[in-house]
Amino acid sequence: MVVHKLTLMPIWEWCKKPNIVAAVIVAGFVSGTFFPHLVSGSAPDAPTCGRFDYNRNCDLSPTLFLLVDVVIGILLAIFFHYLSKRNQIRLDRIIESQEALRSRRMDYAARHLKDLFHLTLFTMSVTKRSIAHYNLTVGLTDDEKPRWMQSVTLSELRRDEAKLGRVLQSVRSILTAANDVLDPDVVSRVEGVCNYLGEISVEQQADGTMEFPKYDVCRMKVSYLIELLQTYSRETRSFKDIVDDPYGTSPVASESDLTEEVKQ
Amino acid sequence: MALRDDNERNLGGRDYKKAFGQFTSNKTQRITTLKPVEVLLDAQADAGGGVHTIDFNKGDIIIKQSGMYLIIAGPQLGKVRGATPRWIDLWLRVNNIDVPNSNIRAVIIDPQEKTVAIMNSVLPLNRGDTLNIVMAAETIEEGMGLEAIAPDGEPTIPSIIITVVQLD
Repeated sequence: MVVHKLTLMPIWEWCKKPNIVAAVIVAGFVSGTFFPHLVSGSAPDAPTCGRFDYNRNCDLSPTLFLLVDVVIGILLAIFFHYLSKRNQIRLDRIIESQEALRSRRMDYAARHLKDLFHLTLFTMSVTKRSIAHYNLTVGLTDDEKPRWMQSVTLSELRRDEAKLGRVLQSVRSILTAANDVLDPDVVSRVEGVCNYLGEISVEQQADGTMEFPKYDVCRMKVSYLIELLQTYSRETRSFKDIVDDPYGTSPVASESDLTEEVKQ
Repeated sequence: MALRDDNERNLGGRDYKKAFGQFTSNKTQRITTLKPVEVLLDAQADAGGGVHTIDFNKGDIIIKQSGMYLIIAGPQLGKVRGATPRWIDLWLRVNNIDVPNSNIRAVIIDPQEKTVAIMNSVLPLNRGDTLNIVMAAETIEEGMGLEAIAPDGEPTIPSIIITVVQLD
């Protein structure tokens, strides 16, 4: 014969069932509202009734009535406290997960922006080098096939320019996606650099040579930004402002002659 | 990132210095196109014992410290020929974007007239931002633009003087 062993379900488990919770609330409300009054009107008071007597001849005394009310109140308070705590725990978990997501987005944005600006710097250098190559072909004689060399370098130049444009587009996309987690100062600085670089394009001079206008300034602006992005800390989730030594040398220093370098 | 408190900005044990700079151009710059033209600069005053807290490269003034800046520019305007009143506009450009409400206009009637138009603005600028003064004129036929004058026995009158001071 199979003996079924019945185990009592812990109160905690009962509390997790919404139906039970609702039933307890209704029962508490009904009993708290009607029961004491019904009891108090159950029988007439006898003169011998004590304060805590309760039987056929003794009605519920005001003191006992108060105590019953207090007990009901305490039970309801405990119950509501439990409910609010449970909700608070859930809210805390939601907030925590959102905060973790926000931090991950910020980490990603900072790292990716830094990588993209490194790529920008690299692409600018490559473009500058292509320009130097192109300029070497200006003035060559026909025997040296300058047209062919120019067309090849020009296509490289256009490719590099297009790449720079794509990189800037990616930077703007990241800004759009992460502008709620990034510091507004950082967003405005990145936007400033994007605006500046977006307006720069390789120009042909009157003598037929190509020029990357304001290359030094572009390079310096990107370097400043990379400096800032490198100060990002995963612990504090913030960037650190950098101030140059005012007695230091200017970052807008003239570069070594790239044409000479290319020739070599 | 915005470390606005002076104590916090004492980075690396160095005292934080507010940025300032005065830039001039000793070359006459005439407008030869109807498109806006950037004003070029060729000198920076060595105020404060050679301290340069703001840089420049041709027409670009490069900010090295983030903050709020007061910018005052005084271009010396003139023209070469013509007696018709012609306007010339000057305004600010930050990171290749024109700054709203920074435009000023001067009207020059004849070549003898020399005018200094004052342009001033307060702007929040970040490290690495570039600031330009841009000008445009009504016509390119009359040689309008900024004029540097070299009077006898006096210092040269630059074609433009720009003062940039960090406020906070």
